[in-house]
Amino acid sequence: MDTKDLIKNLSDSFGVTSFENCTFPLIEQFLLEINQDIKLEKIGIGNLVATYGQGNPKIAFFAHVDEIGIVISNIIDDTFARIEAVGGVDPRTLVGKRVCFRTENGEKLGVIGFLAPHLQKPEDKDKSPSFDELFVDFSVSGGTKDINVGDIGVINVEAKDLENDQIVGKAIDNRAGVAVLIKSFEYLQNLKFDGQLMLSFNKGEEVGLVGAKGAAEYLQPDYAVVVDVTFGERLPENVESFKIGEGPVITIGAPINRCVYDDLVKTAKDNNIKYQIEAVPSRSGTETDIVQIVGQGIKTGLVSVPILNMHSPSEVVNINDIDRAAKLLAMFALNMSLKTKGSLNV
Amino acid sequence: MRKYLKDLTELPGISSREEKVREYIKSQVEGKVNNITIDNLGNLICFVKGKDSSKKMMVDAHMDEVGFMVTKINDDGTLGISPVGGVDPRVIKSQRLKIEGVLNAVVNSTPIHLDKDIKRVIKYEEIKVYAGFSSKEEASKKVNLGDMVTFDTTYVEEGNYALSKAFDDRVGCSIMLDIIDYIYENKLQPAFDTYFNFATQEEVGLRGTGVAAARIKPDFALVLEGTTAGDNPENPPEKWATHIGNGPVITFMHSGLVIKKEMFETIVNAAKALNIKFQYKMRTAGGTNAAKLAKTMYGIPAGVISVPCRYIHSPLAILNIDDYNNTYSLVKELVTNNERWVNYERAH
Repeated sequence: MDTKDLIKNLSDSFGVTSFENCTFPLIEQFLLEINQDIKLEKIGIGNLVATYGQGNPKIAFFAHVDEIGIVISNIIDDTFARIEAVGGVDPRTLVGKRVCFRTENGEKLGVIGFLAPHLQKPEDKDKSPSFDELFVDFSVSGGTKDINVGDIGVINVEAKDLENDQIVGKAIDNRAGVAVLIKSFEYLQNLKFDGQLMLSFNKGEEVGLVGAKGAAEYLQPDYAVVVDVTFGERLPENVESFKIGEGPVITIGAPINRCVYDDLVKTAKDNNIKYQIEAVPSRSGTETDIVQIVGQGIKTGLVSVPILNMHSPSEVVNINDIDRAAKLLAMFALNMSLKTKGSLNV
Repeated sequence: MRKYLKDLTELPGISSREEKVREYIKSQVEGKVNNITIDNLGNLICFVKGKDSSKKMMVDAHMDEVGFMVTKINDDGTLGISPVGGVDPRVIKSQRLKIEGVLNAVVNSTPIHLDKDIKRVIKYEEIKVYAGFSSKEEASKKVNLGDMVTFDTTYVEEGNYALSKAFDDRVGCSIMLDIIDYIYENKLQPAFDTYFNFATQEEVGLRGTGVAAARIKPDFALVLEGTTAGDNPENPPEKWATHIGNGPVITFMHSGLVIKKEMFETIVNAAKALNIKFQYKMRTAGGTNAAKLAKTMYGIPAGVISVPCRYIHSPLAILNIDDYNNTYSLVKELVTNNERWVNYERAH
């Protein structure tokens, strides 16, 4: 499976929080292409869970499927509407962008317009517009007559190639994680994995880790590894920065079980997989924050793909990082199954 | 009609780098006009013999669009850019760009998690463009200082509206091409000896058209533009410059020029005679090549007719198709019908 095609398809898919169902069929199709012998089910609040193999250990990989977006909050007149954010959207990233809304009358294209410099007042030039001031112009889709308050949209851009195996897309957060799960399943086909692998594609992360909790409760895995994205930008001076293209980031810290971290790092070292380390003092801001404390507690790890420009329509990922993370996860699953069987034999 | 608008707006061509637009236009007019000249500034001048050769009319639209130039290659492989013409830095955060029309690039955008001051304007001094290079050395193999950078925008037309970059002023170029086609296909002649000038370097200070006019030596000129609208919900109606859907825009005055009264009246009377919707430009900010022509040689009187466009100088402008069609009709009438100029000529 070509990783570039995989991530481009996933990133272009519409899947704002609460609309993950639009992306699930794509994920199912990719998984079934790899192996028909996989059980697909929707659980609880609607997460997609894929189960492969049986017995012990039970290893679960988590990735949230939803992307940030925008929602119609007010119709101004027959041309214009106001919007609010779904998840952490920087209003500055919306200026001068095409947006596309899912409505009951189909997809509607709009434009977040901006006054030409000729007509601006000098005193307005030093501040960027807030959500109160942004507006969507629906001229090119017949105006607002088919638009309703509550209709959800995204910035309308396609994934494209950049130099050096990099892809730019609107929803690399967290379709990169989704791609890692799918690719890890592909890698696993060539390994003598003996146990149960559960891939949980979760809803609602961007508005507060909605999906992961139910999935963790339902699956009760022996080990959970969350896959998400992290910053490829330079971080504050007291924190180690990561570089895209330099491998997946393995996290250590409070919301991570040390044993899972150790096994992930050992797996990476043993298999010559390039990796980076992130130290998280309190919360990771990912699904680990909830997964670890579900029920009687779950041994949890975190692997992140470093990206640039997170929460913008120009999120950039290096596909080699996706491949390396996928390989790391597959080898981790294998090692944990070998470890379990080994201990059972004693 | 309007068959060139999509191609014209999608082509990259910042000021002084209009060659792709010029080549495209040249290839479309060859065989349809009496003479084609490309002058030292890159203006493309297309001559069509008129019914009355006692007067020379110049019709002008500029080929260049606002965009950027690569002005620095950073050690980390990112690029520094500077605007060519007026581009507000607020419209480019996280935007998609094309370098030299071919290489994909993005405007880097620090995540909201790390840059929480969402009111702050990211200025050109901090903007970094990323094409995927990890070092200066690597970037320098494919990118050079001075390279052209444009918005990566595709044209969309739906219902009565079109959406694209560079309507300012490819829409003027498009109307000129449509009129050349109309004259050619109907085996007509324009009213006077007519020089269609596809101008260069308007956006960096009206630098192309005067040179073309010095060669043409016209008696008068019509300047075609894509102009500002400002008719959005954040701008109260009394501050609008124009309103899309209200027809061609006729200018009585703009920065650096009050349009000659007889010229203004000739245009208004033609619009009235055609019984088409038209509007006056209600704001005088911004200039056009007409201001340059007024100060060229003996002073060339020019009128200004524009298609109103929302959000010009951004990656996405919107125009109304009826406005386009009515602007075309109005300009076509003025270019082909000698009677429209009787009063103007009488005044001279």
